[in-house]
Amino acid sequence: MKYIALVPEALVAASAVILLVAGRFGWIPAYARRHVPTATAAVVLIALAVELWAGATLGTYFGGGLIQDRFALFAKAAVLLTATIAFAVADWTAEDSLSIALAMPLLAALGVMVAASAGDLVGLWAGLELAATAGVVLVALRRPDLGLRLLLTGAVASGLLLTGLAFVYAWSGTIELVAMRQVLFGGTATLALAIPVFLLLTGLAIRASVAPFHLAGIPSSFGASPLGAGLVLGLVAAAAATVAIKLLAALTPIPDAFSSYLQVIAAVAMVGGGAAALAVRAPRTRIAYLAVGQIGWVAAGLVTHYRAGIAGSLFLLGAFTVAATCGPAVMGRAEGGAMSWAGMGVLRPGRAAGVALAVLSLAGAPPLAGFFGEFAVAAALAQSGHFALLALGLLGSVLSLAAAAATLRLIYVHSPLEEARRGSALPVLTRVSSAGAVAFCAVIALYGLFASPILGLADQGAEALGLR
Amino acid sequence: MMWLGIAGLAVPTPTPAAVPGANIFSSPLLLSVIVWVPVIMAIAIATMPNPRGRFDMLMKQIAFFTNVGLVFVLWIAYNQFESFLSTPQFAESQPWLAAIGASYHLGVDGPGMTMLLLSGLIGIVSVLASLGIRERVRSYFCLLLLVQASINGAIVARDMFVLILFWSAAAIPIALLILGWGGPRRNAATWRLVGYWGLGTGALVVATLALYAATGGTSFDMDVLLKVGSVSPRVQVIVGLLVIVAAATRLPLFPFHGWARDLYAEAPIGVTVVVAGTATRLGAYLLLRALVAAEPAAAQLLAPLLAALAALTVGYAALAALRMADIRHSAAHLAMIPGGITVLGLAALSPLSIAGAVFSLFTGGLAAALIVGVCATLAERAQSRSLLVLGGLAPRMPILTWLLIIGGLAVLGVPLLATFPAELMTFFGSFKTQPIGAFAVAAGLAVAAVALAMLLRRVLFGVPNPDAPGVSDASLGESWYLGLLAGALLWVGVFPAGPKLPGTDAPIFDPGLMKTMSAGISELAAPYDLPTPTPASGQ
Amino acid sequence: MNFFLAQIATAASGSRSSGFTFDPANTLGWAVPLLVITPLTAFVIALTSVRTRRSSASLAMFGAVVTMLLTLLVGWGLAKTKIPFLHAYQYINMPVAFSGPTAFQSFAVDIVLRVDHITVAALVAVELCVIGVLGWNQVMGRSEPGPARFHALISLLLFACVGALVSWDLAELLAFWGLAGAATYLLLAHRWGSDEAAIRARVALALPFVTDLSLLCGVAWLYARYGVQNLTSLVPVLHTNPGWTVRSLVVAAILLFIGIGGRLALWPLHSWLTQTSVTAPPAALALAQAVWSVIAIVALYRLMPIIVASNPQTVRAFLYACGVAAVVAPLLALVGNEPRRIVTLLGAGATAVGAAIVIHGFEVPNATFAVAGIACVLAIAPARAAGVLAASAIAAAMRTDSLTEMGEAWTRMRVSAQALLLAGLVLALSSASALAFAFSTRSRVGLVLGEALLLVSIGALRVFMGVAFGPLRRRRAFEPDRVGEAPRASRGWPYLLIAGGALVWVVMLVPRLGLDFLDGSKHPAPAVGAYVLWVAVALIGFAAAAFAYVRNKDGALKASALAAAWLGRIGGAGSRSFARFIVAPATEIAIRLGDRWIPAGDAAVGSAVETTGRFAVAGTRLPVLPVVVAIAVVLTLVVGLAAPGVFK
Repeated sequence: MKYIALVPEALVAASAVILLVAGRFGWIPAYARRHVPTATAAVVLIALAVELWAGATLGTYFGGGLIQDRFALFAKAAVLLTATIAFAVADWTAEDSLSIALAMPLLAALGVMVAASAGDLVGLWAGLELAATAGVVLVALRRPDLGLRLLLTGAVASGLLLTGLAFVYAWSGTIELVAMRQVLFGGTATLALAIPVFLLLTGLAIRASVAPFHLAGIPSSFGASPLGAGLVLGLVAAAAATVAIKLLAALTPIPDAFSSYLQVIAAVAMVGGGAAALAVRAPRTRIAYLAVGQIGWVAAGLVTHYRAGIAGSLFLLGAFTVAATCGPAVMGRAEGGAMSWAGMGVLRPGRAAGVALAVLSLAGAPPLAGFFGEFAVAAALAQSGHFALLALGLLGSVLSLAAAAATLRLIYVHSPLEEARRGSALPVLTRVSSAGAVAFCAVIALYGLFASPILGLADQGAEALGLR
Repeated sequence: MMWLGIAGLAVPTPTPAAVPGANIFSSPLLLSVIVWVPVIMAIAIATMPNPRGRFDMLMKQIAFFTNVGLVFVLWIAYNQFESFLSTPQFAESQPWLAAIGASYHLGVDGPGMTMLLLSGLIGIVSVLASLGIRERVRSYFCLLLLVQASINGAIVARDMFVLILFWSAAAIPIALLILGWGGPRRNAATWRLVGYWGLGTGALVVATLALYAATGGTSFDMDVLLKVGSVSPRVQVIVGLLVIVAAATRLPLFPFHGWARDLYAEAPIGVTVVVAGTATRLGAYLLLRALVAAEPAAAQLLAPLLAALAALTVGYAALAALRMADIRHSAAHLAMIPGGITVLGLAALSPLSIAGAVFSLFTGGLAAALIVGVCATLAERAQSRSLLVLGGLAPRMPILTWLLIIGGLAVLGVPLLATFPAELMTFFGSFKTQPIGAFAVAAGLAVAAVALAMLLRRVLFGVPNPDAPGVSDASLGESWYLGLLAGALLWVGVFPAGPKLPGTDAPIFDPGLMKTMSAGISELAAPYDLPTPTPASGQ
Repeated sequence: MNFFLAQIATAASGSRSSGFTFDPANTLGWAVPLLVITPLTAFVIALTSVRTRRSSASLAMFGAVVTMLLTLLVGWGLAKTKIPFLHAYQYINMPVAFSGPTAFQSFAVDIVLRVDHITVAALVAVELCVIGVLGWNQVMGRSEPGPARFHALISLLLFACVGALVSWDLAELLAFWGLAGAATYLLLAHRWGSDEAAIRARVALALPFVTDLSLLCGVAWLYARYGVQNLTSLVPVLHTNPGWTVRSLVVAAILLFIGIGGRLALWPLHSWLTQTSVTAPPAALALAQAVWSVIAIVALYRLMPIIVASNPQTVRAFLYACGVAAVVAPLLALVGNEPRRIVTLLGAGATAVGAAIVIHGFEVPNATFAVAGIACVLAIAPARAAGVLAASAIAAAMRTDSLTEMGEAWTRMRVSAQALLLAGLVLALSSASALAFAFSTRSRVGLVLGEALLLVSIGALRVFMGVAFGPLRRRRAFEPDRVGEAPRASRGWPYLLIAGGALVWVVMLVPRLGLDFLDGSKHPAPAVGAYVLWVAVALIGFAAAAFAYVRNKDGALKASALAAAWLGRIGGAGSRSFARFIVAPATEIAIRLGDRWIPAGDAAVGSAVETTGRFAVAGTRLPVLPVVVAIAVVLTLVVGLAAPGVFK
């Protein structure tokens, strides 16, 4: 009964493995193919239900290797919800391999779950790598070149990450986060500690494609399949952010070792992401850069290294993961470039609304999920006196909003192009996908309505990491 | 009205009672209804099936009757509003983001009620002005209702978080409305709007969070953040400057007016009316709430700056209107003038001038909406916007002629129109504390009179231009929406304190805007009461 | 309402007591409010339901006549008593402050109806002008466009005038004043569709608005210091209220004087009348100058206590200003040959004389002749209206606006010509008689005003001689033999106005009848010598004009035409340089701000953002590995070395 809290992980891992094997050996009959995504979504939904029911009981597993606390509950619930919606809403005619396109997000989700409940550095690293590898696979499936690009930068990232972790271990003498936190109390940030921490953060930034380290992740999301793009932009970034939150929570006794570096990264990401989103035209590209901007806000929340800030980041991360992962999935094909989505508000109202809300939420427009998250972070920034960073973030948000307005104009104001000029087929319209789109809209739009309990849970999550 | 009266008799009414409709309608969610019903209706419009535009008219009707319903609710609220209470009324409070201290707190005092009435009126007017929309009706009215809702929300917010939420929410739908249905230069207009308003919103957020941090980071409630003396003068000044920027980008005040001309000139008429009527007044409303009422020290220090901004705005707008070649540009500049007068009232920091400023929120909104609306309609009806083409229209479009004259005179503040009492109070209150600013604004008004005279001469009273395209007078819908604005200006101008029978002191059926508005004014202006007099010391 | 009932009841009870003893004093309670409401009602009816020329004209006339009757009733009611009728209705009363001086704790505007003898006389004058002008216009204004609009506006103007004359609260005065201003502008700009009229009507909106604004500022200035705007409560505290200074009172006085001077059309604030003298409908022009002079002089009389409270130098300066205006206006009337413009300027000059008398009356301690100024203007107002109407009739018949092309009116249009002559006579003689009360010809101001009187009389006779005698030459498409008298129905009205003016003049000659009635105090009749002297000045003027025109009419007219041309050149140069050196730069700056500088700034910001964005996007096209590693290393080192608390 104690291990029931691990059922979600088990379900996700098992269905991923089954899907891979079944796909490899062609066990999925043609008539069943259209039901597989629904079934998978259902399984993930069950996992989510179990998580919400059983995950509330705290527990420690495998001798502290895995810890089920509020933080884990929050992160797992977020990714499971994300995966469910993504599967429901995805346009499966736009995916290359059903089984892989289903399995990889599951593995990525599993990675986030592992990282979220990891009790030591190994778990963190394993979870992150699992998620990242899933992303690489799904991208490479359509565009091997981009996959390779992602793989190489990923290698650099994990190199930096490992170096950093090794140094931190050497410095603190333990790989357990709680213990590490204890050791670091009373310590001071020296260059010898700061440099490896910076390297570590760089590795995470590359994974989360935070500007200026977005060079690998973002382009590979342009060419990938919808789910692949969502995976790279959303789940992998979420995994990196989860790892970052847990690590920095352990490092809070010596904030100087990371906060200034994070400030730079966050500022560059928030402003650069917004500006870049304004400079590009194609909807998916725009989503990608808006995601960069918002993950910058998540990083900004970590700068504060207080409970309020971390809670804000976590709260925002939930909104971010859903929007950034499902946004491209709702959109479907993106071959047609900028104009492929012209007038989609008339042709595919459900999906159009989904994309519109995703874009707005990533831009931090009220009253959507992103706005509440960013405001919580902003409040924390103000409390800790980081007004310059706050101002830059607001600048980035304004730019993002302008970019979002341009996309909305394309979707709702522009009249639809005829088939020939659109450049890509319309997204399929199935009952499940419509339901998924509606669910997605509901989550994005109502996140704020239920902000009180969600932020409360995030706050408990931050508390669970030992922050005050 | 009658059944209201009967019901009013049926229900025991507490003091001061007397007005029909008092307390027959006491919903704890009154303000939420006013804010969220438009949103729900927008969602309804957005989701209802509309095969080949068959239900376009139905959508227009939904939008219209939503606003009519809101005005009905508002009218009742207005009638049962208790002007002797200084505390916010119809208050609602729910914890929202408890972890950071943000709550869903709504409520209105006198100024808020005044703004709500304005917003309701402008809502109807904007829908009537939009009846001509033919393409993408669904999106248009959906967005229009969202704008309405966001403005109402910003008015009734009693929590800075809620205020910021609605304040910033207005920009996107307005931008889309311009992009989708605007004139030839809509792109520039939109990006300017987003840029300037974004700047203002950023300033507002930073100001709010600065207050939040300064007050201990426990709550965003206005009762905490905007409590007099809650923060040090230094913080007050910083916050004050930020608030001025936020307000100046909205109102707009010189030099943050870059967006106004393009927007007023390019936006579809319905949107122009909303922006000129209510969205921009929010700037002055914020100034009142967040600077004048909350940070007396900063207000005292920054008052000269505000007065200078007011004078510059009026002067600049008048001078620019002198030389415009496009009637909608002229109207855009004339529409900036009431804002300047409002700000003069706020800058003067005397109880009367503040009251005048609040009153001019309402009257200025109507005047600005009327002048931009009538000029836009006239340009459409005359099939040209160029003042070089338009000419001698008066005999051929008498309705629009009279409406333009009324609008112009309203901007100048001529008696019989609501702007006159507002101007009177503003100037009466300003000459002691801000004489230079008051004289400068008066001089600006004089130039505006010249500009108006030239506009009327060119467009209306001259010789008809034989080469100009065909002309027709206002349609029924246009006459109605412009007539509503002009009628409201006249009604409030003649009965600012409600219609009274000679020899009696109680208004008959309209409690009187000035009475409603005065609720809470004394408290807002309390820091600026004059010192109690010492024995006479002449010379 | 119950107030009315009470009044009516008292009236009724009075009549019930013993037979029929009708006491008009009992009627004041309802007659005065009705007096104000009647023209408003006429306006509203005209606005809502009347369309045709005949009905609108009759309605306006009916309203004016009823108002006149009510005024006479009120006058009868007040005849025996010296105490003015006073009743106040609360209009606005809003609490604005808890503490501080009580005067500033609330903002209250009352509709005060205060009627004294001066008010009655002024009302009668105004209504007389309205009736005369309306009657004349019914016949002569047939060709004017938009009759319904025109007559509705006249009713509105009458309402505003009545309101302004009875108001005792300065805010109330401002309201009616501004309303009358708006109506006046719309009347002067009445001829839609004519470019000339449109261009000239601009000044009729702009200039008076500026002066009205100055009046508003003056009242506001006073309120800001005293917290009251009711004359009854304001005047006593002018020197006792804490914080009052002479400077503040001087500023207020100047603002008030400018505000009133604008509507008195004192030079140089007269151009809103002269500019529109040809292009506005004659009826509108006549009304505008007649009624405004009455309202303004009464307002001046009532505000004088405030102005006097400032300091003697200021009052003297105003007196000189009036003197200069009184000289310059008729001097300008000698220049140029447009009969209506000439009459307008003469009226302005004579009114300035009246204003000077009022100011002087308050300047000299315990002098009582200030009302003589009012009487003077009350006599002048109908006369100048009549002059304008007669001149317009003649100009219309002779189809020209220049005296050089006019003539033979004495033979062809004797009635109108006589009207013009009589109007001129009343103008000059009433000024002369008023001056006899106030000034000795030996005082400096007396000399100046004597000069003014001389010029007025010269001008008055000049315009008559110009139209009445000399040949009426044949022109293109104009046959002198066709010129005939104006339609019978229109001829009498100018005479009615002249009779009114003359009556006032005559009454003024006998102080017991006239001035004593006006302000209720005893007025010593001036010495006969003074009368003779001043009238002689006027007669000299007449003689001079007659001499010049009998001798060589064409020469005289040519001379003034030449002068007019020069004046036009100078004026043109002046306005051109004003436009070039003041208006153009200011507007240019504004235009550049709006069209170039601000958009340029926006564009710069926009392109900066765009560049940043492109930069961020372009980064993705770089070789990823080296760039990532490079950025990582650089950032790490820079931050590591620069960050506080790290590098020690």
